[in-house]
Amino acid sequence: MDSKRSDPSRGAAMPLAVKILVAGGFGVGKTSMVGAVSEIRPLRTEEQLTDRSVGVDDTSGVERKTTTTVAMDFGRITIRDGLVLYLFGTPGQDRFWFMWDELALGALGAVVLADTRRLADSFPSIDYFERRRLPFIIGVNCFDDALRYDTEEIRAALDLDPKIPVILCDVRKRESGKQVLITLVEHVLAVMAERQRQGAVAR
Amino acid sequence: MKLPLGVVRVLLSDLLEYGLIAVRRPEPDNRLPNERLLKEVLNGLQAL
Repeated sequence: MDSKRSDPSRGAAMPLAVKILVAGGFGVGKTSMVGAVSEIRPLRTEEQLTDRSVGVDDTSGVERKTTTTVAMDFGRITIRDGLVLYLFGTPGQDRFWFMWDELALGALGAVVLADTRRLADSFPSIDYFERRRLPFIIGVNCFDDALRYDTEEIRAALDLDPKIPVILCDVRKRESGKQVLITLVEHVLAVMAERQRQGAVAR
Repeated sequence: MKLPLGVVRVLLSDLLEYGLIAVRRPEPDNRLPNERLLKEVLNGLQAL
């Protein structure tokens, strides 16, 4: 990822940046999550849903959704001076698939948000990250009016590897979003350790 | 070899067909950042 170079006269080192993606189906809460945990007002590219999206963007089950992210969301968390975490919400609409490769480049891992009312919408994201071998976890966004399922039922429905964490969350809450990110980073560490072990065996 | 790219492609694919060269695909993009950095991120998140 290219970032703007800081003022060269001060000779400041380029800050280290890690990148996490927030993916999932249309209307699952990606924008809310990036907004809840970001320390900056997230760069949003929301637009009002208009009649032009009828038949294109499927709002069945999320009828109250009136805006949609046109390209992506972007948020930032400063870990310490010189180390920042960037959050990129992927666009929810299928027609922006072409952006995913760019977004995924150099990413540490991904959070796939799922809505129990429209679980199948998470499959494309899951497939994508599995194919790319990018570590990911599932965050089940607990909408007020959705039926509650336990994480094992959801894991079975999504046909997930038992090693992939599934956690329930409320993406509007900062603390909950933070917990999701912590779970992801722990999972990435576990995946790294596992791959190192496999690499050692292969040699 | 001042040959146009298209010609080189044809040559290479012929060589491949005769088994004179082998093609190794690049490793899938699965480079992960180092562990220390990740632990730092983890601690930072927990401290938020």
